[in-house]
Amino acid sequence: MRNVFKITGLLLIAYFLSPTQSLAMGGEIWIAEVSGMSCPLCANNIEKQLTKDPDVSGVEVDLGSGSVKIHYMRERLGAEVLIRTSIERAGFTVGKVTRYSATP
Amino acid sequence: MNVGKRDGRGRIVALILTVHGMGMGWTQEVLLMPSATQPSVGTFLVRSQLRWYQGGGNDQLMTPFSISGGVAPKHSVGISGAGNFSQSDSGLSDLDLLWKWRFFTKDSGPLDTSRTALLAGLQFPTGSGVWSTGSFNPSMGIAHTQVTGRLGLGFSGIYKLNTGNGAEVDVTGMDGEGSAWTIGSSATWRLKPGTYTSQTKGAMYISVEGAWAGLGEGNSIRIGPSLFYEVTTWVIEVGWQYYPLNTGDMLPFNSMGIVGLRFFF
Repeated sequence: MRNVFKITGLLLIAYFLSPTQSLAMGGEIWIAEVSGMSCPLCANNIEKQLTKDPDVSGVEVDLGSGSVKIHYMRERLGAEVLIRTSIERAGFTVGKVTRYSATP
Repeated sequence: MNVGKRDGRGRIVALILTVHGMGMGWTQEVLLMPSATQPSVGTFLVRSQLRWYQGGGNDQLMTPFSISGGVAPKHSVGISGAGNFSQSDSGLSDLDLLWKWRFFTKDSGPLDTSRTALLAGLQFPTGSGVWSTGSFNPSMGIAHTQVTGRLGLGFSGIYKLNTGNGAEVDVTGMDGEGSAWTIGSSATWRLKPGTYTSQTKGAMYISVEGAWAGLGEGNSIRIGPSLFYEVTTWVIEVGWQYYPLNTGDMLPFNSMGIVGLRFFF
């Protein structure tokens, strides 16, 4: 029974953090290309800087593709500038920053 | 040799141990040598090691620790010290205040980076007995870190000026009484994973590092391998250093084993 609750909880978390759901809830998602992320600690450094913004509900760092996905709880004015500043403060170089679209 | 006696040689050891002290760096930093990487603004890195110096008939344990934090973009400060335990004496080493300015950064790919930092420090005579240099000793240096794919290379050079009483320390410094140079290099290879994916949360590295240190009339060279495993919030490290060169009987040991932890918050 406990496992059922666990699995249900995890599924709900995954659902609410999924890109389409974040968008459906009025939030938005941005994706930034980042250079110089050579290690797992780098990922945490970037996450720490980005989550200083209370409107950020989640950050996913993909070391494989050198990209960072930022989930906002609501539409964020000046998001691109904030993302660039945060990642640069973390010590990395930012490339293209784009707003995620569920329908490309 | 007994390093527990409060004599000139003991003070030399106190200085060289702090010269060989722990870096306050960041990613892919090897065990002893400083790197050009650092925590970002408002984040902190705590490092702690257990070192076992062997040989010379007087084994010694040392527990260096450091805490460093980002204070501004490209700037970090930290403080380091150590506890020392030998058969004849125990005590604390001097505290070292360290500042790092990463003045050059070139990120040329998702994983590839080239960084250079200026290092400056001041050692305070807060240690106890033989473990203290007994003087305020400024230091200045430079560190370079280069990561290309799975390979990381590091270089550093640090000069520490011993402002203490030269006669008491009983060495003739290279550029001053009892001052010390340390020039080191390292190579690091990411063992696992071979390729990062979106699921990567940890990585294991193997490295070899070495350094030449000149202190007064003596020189030493150390070299050895290390292994460390890094995840997003902590690192565990283990390594060994051998001293093939020790002229002027500068060091009372000939090898060193190291285990350590780093925490990021």
